[in-house]
Amino acid sequence: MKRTGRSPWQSTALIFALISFFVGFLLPGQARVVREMKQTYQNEDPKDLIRVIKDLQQRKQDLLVEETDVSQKVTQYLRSSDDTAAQVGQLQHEATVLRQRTGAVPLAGPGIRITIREQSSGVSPSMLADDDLLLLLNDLWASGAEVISLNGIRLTDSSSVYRAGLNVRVGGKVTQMPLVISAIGDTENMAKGLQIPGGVLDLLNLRRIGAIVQKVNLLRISD
Amino acid sequence: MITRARNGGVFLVALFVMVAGFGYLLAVQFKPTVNKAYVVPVQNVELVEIMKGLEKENDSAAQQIVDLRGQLADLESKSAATSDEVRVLTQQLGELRGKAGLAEATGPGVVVTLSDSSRTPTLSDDPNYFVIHDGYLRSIVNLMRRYGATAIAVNDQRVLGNSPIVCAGPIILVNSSRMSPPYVITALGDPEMLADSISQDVFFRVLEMYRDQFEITCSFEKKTSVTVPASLDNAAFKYAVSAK
Repeated sequence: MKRTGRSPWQSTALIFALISFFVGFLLPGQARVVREMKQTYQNEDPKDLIRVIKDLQQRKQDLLVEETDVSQKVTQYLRSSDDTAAQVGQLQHEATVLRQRTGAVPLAGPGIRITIREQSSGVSPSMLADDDLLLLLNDLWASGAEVISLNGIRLTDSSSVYRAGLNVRVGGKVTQMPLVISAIGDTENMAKGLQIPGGVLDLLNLRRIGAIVQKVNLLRISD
Repeated sequence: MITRARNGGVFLVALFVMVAGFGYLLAVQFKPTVNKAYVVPVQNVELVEIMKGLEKENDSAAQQIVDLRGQLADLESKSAATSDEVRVLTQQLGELRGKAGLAEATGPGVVVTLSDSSRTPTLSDDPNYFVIHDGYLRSIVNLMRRYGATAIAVNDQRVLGNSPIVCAGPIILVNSSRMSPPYVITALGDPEMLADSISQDVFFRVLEMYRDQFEITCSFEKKTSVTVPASLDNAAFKYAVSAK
């Protein structure tokens, strides 16, 4: 009798080819799905998305303040196009605001003072790392600090902060531990921002670095 | 005949092992996706829509600020031509705005690019080494300042002294704006000085080690000209006032 069907070898090879094709067909699709999900953030924790939305809403408010401010300046300029005294007044006002911002004048206001002490005694002394300090300062800025000084040295846009042996370098200046950080700004929000569970103060505490936070009605930060 | 049957048996066993292997790989590959793709929290779709809507509004407000600042600059330069006092003040104000980061800055500098690994971590890998963290950006910005950078930006955001760089899960925010990788950190300054100092710094060397081992992107370029955008934040303080 003449065999018209495929041999078992041929059938097996065909099944194998089909499976391989199926796998090869699925894998790129799978990679695409993973990539798209990463881009759309739809698989993220809703808490993270809510945090992003809150930040974007805050950004919206901040941009609105600046938009309104510049818009008012334009309107005032148009109104006072032939009034030199009014223009001088407007320019001087903005210059005063910018001098405060750039660290050219001493500032005062409510805020918080954080005193940080390392534990230098014992078998394994604790030491404040660059990352700890950057995280602490970042959390202060994020929670409403307007001006910050470290042991009286005011931070500016160009200030770097890092450990140099046992010292702390703030911009071009050198200071030592303990470190007293003064921050003028939204007192309640800054205190809350630092003390969130798992936040920077918990981190310092775990590493046996003491941090005492005090609310102060009037802080003064020199230029 | 017996040999052929034995060969067939061996082949089938090999085929079984291969197919089972494929099946296992597929299951491993699908597991995280199935969990996340098909159990996507329902509210996430809505949250992502809200997020994108806010970003659109913020982009539009940012453009509006740039346009208004342009108009103001035109008005100021016209007025400066009519009065010496206004001209001197306008010039001083221009310098102060530059110092406060409220003006775009262009000049020689460097660009550091960081991005998450394109390689998917295996089950035995620690996925933390495959992604760029907010702390990396803070450290790079701090290094750039340390070695003389005069203006810095991360992607399209100007980074000032008070610019927070934070994360919400895997999402990095600079100036409360969501950043997408690659994170391009641009700094104005002496390219040679910045390049030599940063490339020899321990932190940057650690990132290069992660690049070699975990395939994150970590690159460094000296540039004859880079542009850093102006900050869009309002300069006025709400709490701090001039001390008497």
